[in-house]
Amino acid sequence: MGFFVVGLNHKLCPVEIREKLHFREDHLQSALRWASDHLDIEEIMILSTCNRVEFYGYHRGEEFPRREILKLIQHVHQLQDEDYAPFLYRYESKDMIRHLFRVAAGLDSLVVGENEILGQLRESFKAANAAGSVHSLIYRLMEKALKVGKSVRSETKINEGAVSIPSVAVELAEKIFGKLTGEKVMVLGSGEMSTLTLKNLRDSGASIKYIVSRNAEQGKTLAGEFGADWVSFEGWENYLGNVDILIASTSAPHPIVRGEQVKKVMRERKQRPLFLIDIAVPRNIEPQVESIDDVYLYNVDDLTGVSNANLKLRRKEIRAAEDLIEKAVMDYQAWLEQLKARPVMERFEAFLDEVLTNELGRLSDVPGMSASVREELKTRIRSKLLHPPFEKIKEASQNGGVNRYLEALHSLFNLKK
Amino acid sequence: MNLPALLLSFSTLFYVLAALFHLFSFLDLREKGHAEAASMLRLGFMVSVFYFIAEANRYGTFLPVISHDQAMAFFAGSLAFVYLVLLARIQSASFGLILNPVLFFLMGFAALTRVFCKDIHVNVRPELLQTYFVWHVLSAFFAYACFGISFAAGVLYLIQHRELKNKHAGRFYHKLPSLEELERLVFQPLLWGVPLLFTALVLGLVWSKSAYGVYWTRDPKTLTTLAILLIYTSLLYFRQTTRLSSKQIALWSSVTFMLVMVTFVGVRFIHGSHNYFQ
Repeated sequence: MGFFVVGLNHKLCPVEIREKLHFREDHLQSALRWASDHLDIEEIMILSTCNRVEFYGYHRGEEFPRREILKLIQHVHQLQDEDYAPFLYRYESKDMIRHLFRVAAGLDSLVVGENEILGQLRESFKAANAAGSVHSLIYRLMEKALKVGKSVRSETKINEGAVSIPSVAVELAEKIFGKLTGEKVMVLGSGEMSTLTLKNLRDSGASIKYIVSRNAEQGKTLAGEFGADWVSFEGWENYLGNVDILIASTSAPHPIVRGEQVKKVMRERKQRPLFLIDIAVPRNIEPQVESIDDVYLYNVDDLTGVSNANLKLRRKEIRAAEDLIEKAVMDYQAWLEQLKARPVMERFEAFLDEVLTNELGRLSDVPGMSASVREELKTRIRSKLLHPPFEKIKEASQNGGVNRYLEALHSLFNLKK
Repeated sequence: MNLPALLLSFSTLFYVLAALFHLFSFLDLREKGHAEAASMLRLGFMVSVFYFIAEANRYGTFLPVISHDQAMAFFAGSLAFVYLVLLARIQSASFGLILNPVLFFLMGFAALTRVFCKDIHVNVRPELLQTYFVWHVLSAFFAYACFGISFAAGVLYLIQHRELKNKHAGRFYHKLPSLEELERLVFQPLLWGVPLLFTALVLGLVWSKSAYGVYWTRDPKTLTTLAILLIYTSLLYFRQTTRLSSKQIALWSSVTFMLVMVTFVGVRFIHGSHNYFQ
């Protein structure tokens, strides 16, 4: 059997089912320990994110360990398999390796090339390692998968360009102001999206200065979180001249930021650029504002447009990423084959050593055949005899067919099992 | 083909290759195109230095900027020097994309002039060997090189500005630096270029007095240089007093440099005291 994966993901399985199967971080290790103790599987690791639940493992048995995995799900979630079984996919051996490498590279993600999955994979691996449910085979494979995930991102542009609304806002701010170094930010309204955008801007180096909110309590809490000042809705205009980035995200049914206000502020700002992000629906900023020089206005549709353009660029890189993954799969497969061949090769070496020691030992009485000469002769014959089969097996490990050579060695030389 | 002509042709060829590599890199047709272009640009510049040495040796003058081809090549050389040496920090694929065609244009023009005027012998008049003249030429050419850098940054600023205003996240949006950085690169070279051109103008007047006995002649080159100096000085003033937006500064800097190029090439074909190729 060998390596296997069973799982379900965002492509086929609805979120209602995925969330039922989700393994919470605090339950993960106990589930893995239970699996190690009760299931007929040698090694197992669980990757559980909001988009996928996958069970990676190694099994020595002949059959695919699907029933074992279902047992684990039933034990942890008390779910009947008919609820989710139609959405399960499974891969084994080379296909499992390919799937894992694609997941690590972000090619199987909802947002192609996203970086988060690599961290999630690393955390899952750590948890499995801590629970003692993975050993040398999965350990080595996961190390390789993390390395492949990293190199795909560094050697291609699969993760370039922001794709989420908050990260697009940061990317645009950096295209206007350069690397963010304390650019002042004001937010009108305190919705979820504006808070996320604030977090992204702060993490990129911007300084959150003013939180404008009708709800004083909510506004002050948010201001406290970002080290900003709370400003009432009546007075926000007075602070507009001090900020470089304005996020508008209120539920007002009409525009709050008007062209005349911005024109006036731009004169005070001495033409320093102003970036306006309107993530409210209906819009909070008058569209004619964007005709003002040095003012850059982006609403939700504009941000989505940038995100789509970036996604399109990422998709162009998929071919290059797939090629890198295919090469990594071939290399890993070859390494596994060589690993499989090692015991037979060791037996063949031992067989040769025995024959050479015996036969050359008989020449000990011949003049000039001292022990050192015999040893040197043995080494030279040994290396000449071993080199061709070793090379053939190495070659076959990359193209398949190692077993054929190993069986031939066994039967031709009657090697001990 | 004599040695200077051969060196001029090779230098032009390297600049052409640099422009092509930049283009391929920009179009993602060549992964390391930018690095290859930078190498070609360095090679082109080095070969052009040998060309100046050969020409200086041939005419017995420290600064070989007497004939059309020499002046064009020296302009290109100054621009390449400022870009490669003084502004090594800002070298990028996008900058090279704009600068290399300018270099190629200047060198190509120089090479063509050389081909068509190869039999004309240049007589170096003794007044062209005076120290004032050397400094006048050096400061003028380096001022033009600074304006060339400002022009390239200005063009890139206008492109990136258009991308951001149109909400178009295309190739330029991704590959060009930020507006703030570009704006700095439009303005900073003007801060160096304006005093240099002013120095060149003053030294030119002083040299004119010592060479011809008059400070001022109604030479087309002198008049256009004065106009260019006035425009760039106004740009600096309007930038400092924030009366012009960054976009307007970028636009004016780019347009003025085109005027520099036109007058640089055109004035040499008009008879005047700056036409030494007689």
